[in-house]
Amino acid sequence: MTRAYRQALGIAAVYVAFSIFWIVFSDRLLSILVQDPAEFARLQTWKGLVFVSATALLIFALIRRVLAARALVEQDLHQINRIINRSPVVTIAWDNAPGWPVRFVNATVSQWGYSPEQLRSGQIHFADLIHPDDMQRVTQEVAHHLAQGPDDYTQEYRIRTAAGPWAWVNDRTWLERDEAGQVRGIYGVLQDISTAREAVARLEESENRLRTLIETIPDLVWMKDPEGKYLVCNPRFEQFFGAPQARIVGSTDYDFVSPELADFFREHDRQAMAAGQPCINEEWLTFAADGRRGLFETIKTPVRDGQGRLLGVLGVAREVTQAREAQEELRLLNINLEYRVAERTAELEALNRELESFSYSVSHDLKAPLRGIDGYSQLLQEDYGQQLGEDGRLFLENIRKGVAQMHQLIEDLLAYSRMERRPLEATAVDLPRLVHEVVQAETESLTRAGLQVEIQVPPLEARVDRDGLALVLRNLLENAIKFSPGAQPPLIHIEARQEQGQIQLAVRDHGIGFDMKYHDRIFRIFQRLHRAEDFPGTGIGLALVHKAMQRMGGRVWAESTPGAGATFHLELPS
Amino acid sequence: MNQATPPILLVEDNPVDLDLTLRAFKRKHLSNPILIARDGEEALDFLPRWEADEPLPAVILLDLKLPKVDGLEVLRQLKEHPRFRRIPVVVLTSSAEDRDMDSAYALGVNSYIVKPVSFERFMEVAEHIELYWCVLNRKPE
Repeated sequence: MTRAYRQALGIAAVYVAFSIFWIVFSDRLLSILVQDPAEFARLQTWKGLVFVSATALLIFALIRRVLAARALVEQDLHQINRIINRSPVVTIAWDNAPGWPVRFVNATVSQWGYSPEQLRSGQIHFADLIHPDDMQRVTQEVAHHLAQGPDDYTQEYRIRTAAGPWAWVNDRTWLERDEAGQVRGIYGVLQDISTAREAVARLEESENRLRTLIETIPDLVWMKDPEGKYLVCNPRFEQFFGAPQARIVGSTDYDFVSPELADFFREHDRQAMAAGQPCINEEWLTFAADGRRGLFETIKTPVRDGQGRLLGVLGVAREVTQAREAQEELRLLNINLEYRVAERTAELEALNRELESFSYSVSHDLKAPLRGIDGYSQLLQEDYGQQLGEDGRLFLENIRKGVAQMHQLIEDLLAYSRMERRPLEATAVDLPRLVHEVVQAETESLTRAGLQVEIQVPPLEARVDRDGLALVLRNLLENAIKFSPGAQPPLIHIEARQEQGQIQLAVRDHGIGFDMKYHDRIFRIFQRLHRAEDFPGTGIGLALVHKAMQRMGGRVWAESTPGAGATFHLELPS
Repeated sequence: MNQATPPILLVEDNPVDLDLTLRAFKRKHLSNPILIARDGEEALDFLPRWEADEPLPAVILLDLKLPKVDGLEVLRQLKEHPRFRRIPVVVLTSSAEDRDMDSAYALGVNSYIVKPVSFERFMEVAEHIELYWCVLNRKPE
């Protein structure tokens, strides 16, 4: 029985009760008060008017009350509608019938692209909107609740939006039952939770990735709260304690390792918390799971929440045993290498000393008898020359020439061996000055040979061993003088230039030159291209030049055509 | 012994070098008497003699490579002596090695001469030595 029906019936009942009461009592009361029939008839007409007025008033009062109450309800309803229609929720009522025909749905259903009319008219069945994958579950759940309750329940499923994509909805439902317990209506509040579900899905995905990472990395990873209780750890860490995460979380180091080691861990946790930044330390750890021992590099980082509150210390320990072993191996190898180098150096030094004492002996002991031969042959020549005759004097002359050459040979050999051993010192050398000095020192032999030197050396400064370069220039100049008899023009050129920061020097003569096929030979020790009577020499000069340039880090080479002079090029170290 | 011509001490082990040196001095008409030590030990034996007031030499000509006690050791002992350190010492050797020269100068040698191989040059050297150290050079009495 509807409310409207009850109200109308109430009004009619009040009217009937009042009318009966009036009919029964009004005439009786009037007959007691009036006996005159004419008067009675007149009053009877008035009584009828009073009845009509009274019932009209009564009906007016009753209907007005009902209508006022209804206006109030309608106003509330309007308010509720306004609120709901501006909210993200969709209110819906279904009949408990196949396909769940929609009895009511509010305007917010348009968020999925449907109008309330489409659903209420049965043009669209709600069941058709549910995702096929969710349909069976939803149906079973509804059937279960219809049969056994509870009558309030929540479901989550997908519905198709008019545009095509699926929307996740949260459906809070309650069931209306009649006296017999039969479900008469199904009412629901639907809310679109697609965005929230997506966020959750993304979060889950990211969590999964993170979990996979933490669970599969070979490092130990854990986090402890500020009091040292474990909050989380990874499987590798479980191996260290030899316990599952479930047992580790909530425990402290003191529950698993020796008090000394636990103190050590705790101390480093405190350091990291106090420092407010990651702290690194190294520690030897023994795995409870398999007893293996290794050296670990541990980074402890204090972790804070958004408000800056300390949440705990995050720890990551990486095994560095192998790296350390390799390092140690390398160190030992290095030591060994250093030792071997030292050994070889000592051997070389010993050899060098031997060589030194050898050349010392050469310079001292080989010269002494030579001095005797020279001295006595001269005395013999001077004191007894007349008694010797011409042949005798020639013999003596040759003996003395031999001595002089032997002497030269010894001196050159000594110079060569000195160049091999002498420590070099690169200093800033004023090139034009050095060249002039070298030429100056050879003035006598230049004059004797009738030669002049043309110097074209710009003001350059070279960083070389001064004595070494002087020796090289002197030898090249002496060489040029020696091989320039009758040269036309009677000139020796010394030139220098700088190219890309590198200084090049050249000593050029117009002498006899040499065949380029002998180029490499002339720089080798004791190698000579001429007979001693033509050009005297020991075969050491150019070898000495080569050795000196090599030791100074420079280069020497020559260019020549027989009969057209020779040019010796020097390249100084840059 | 004549006050005006103090002796020259010649420390030389090689008989050829010794003979040639004496001949060179003789050829250059040297007036100073020559004292001879044939090794380092003999050279050092002169120290007690000088302490017993034998006249000090005008110059000591010292070879480096000597039997028993080598020339550098003789030089060291001479230059460490409070009195005899003033006697000029001229090293006369075949060695032109930097090492020997450095050591000799470090010990306070007065001069370092490399013996020339040529006898002609050697005679010139002998003359220079006599002229410089026995005639030109002045030293405290």
